[in-house]
Amino acid sequence: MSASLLLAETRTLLRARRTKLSAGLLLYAVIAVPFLLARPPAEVVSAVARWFPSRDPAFALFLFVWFDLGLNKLAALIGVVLAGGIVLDAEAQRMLPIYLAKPITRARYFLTRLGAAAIVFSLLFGGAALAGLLLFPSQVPGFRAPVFLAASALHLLGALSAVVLSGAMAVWVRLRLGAMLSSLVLLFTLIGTAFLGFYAPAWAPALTLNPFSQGVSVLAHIDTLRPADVARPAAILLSMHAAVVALGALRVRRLEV
Amino acid sequence: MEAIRVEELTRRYGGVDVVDHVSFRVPEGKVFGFMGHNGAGKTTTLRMLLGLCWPTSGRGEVLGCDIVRESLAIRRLTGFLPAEYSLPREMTAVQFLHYVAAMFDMGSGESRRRVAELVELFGIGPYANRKLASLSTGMAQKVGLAQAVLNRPRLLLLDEPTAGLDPLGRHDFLQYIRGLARDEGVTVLFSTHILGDIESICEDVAILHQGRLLAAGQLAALKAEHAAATMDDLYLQLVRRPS
Repeated sequence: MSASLLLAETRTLLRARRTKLSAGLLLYAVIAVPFLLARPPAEVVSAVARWFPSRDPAFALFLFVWFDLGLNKLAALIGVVLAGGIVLDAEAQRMLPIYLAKPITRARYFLTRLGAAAIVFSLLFGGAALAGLLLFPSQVPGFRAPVFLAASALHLLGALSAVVLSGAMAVWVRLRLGAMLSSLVLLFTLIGTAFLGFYAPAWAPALTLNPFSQGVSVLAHIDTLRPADVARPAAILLSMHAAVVALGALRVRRLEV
Repeated sequence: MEAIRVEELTRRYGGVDVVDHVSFRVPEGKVFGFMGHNGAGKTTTLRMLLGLCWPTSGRGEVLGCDIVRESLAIRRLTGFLPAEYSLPREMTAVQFLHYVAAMFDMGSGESRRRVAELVELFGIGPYANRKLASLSTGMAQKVGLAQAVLNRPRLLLLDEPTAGLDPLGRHDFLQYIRGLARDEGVTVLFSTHILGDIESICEDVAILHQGRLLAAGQLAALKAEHAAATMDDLYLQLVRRPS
């Protein structure tokens, strides 16, 4: 993958309307979280206290609301919006013969598009985390910036699965709408079960391959966070992403235009 | 030296040979007419030459490179303007050309110089920073041609390039193609169903019909052989000839 092409693709995606819309959605989430935390439902407060025992229950509640109610849902939507039509969009708009007539393999084209989507997604989620870092300390009692940043970094890595899965699904399904819908169903299933290990520990081993479970696993270690608590799930997530990307690249190699 | 050599090239889709054992050679430095009406197999042949799709059987070489095993090397040396394409609506002409330059791994300085040259050459200047969605057909075709020659190709594959152009645009386009071959030695494979275009700029032709090659060679010699006064006569004679 050449740096200049990745940069050009990233610039193109940053200028796209769908990226601006995604940024707007994340801004809304940042602004909405303090309102959600102002009067949380009692059952949520007690469930979070059971799942994530912490000396700062308000901080634990905030992390749950921020990652589960806010970012996870948006990750699925934004991942599909940014990567759900990769390659298929160029094919539908009849641009693919021009691009693939250049000295670039199909796999490299796919990887460049996916790489750019991942960079833009990371910029958006990284930007939301930084905005949160400015806004939330004054709103959340017991807010701990290092834990928030570590949890955000791991969550971003988990949420990137929305981009990776949507991109791979696009080239496997080969129908834009079908690929996007399939990605949404899969991603929301994964998100819906992401916290299952916390309230039904017997299920925890089965969720090792759920990237969203790995992405929020830091919440179990809020008071005792060690580097290994981030490094281990990060390694699992990177391996999973590499495998899914490889499957997508393998599929796209046989694409004819 | 031949720019293209194709032997028994065949492509089958759903049990139908859309390109059926086609063999021809394209001499270097000429504008070669690749003629046939819609569905004759021209586009599929061009795409096989570039590795955009693969032959079912047969073989071919472009600029000495095998079309299946060395398609990346071929694409580095060639330019392609497809018959049906659109340009990215949200990009400007300059952004699009820089994007294409990145596909050739051009550095930013080289990319800037080349894009500036092409903007000047094709008179895109006044529209260079407008969204491609807002350009007229003729102007979009200029941007399409600019992307095809951005890498200074040794071989240019043009698929129905004049369809949709007004008479003036068509004239300018043909002049430019003629100049490329004459002044820069670029080989041009000019695929079209517009017989007048072939007659005006091609010395050598291949005529395709229903996936099969009907004739190939020097246009003047083919006309003489078939006692045809015009390109129209030659084409009709060949197409209507019992197979």
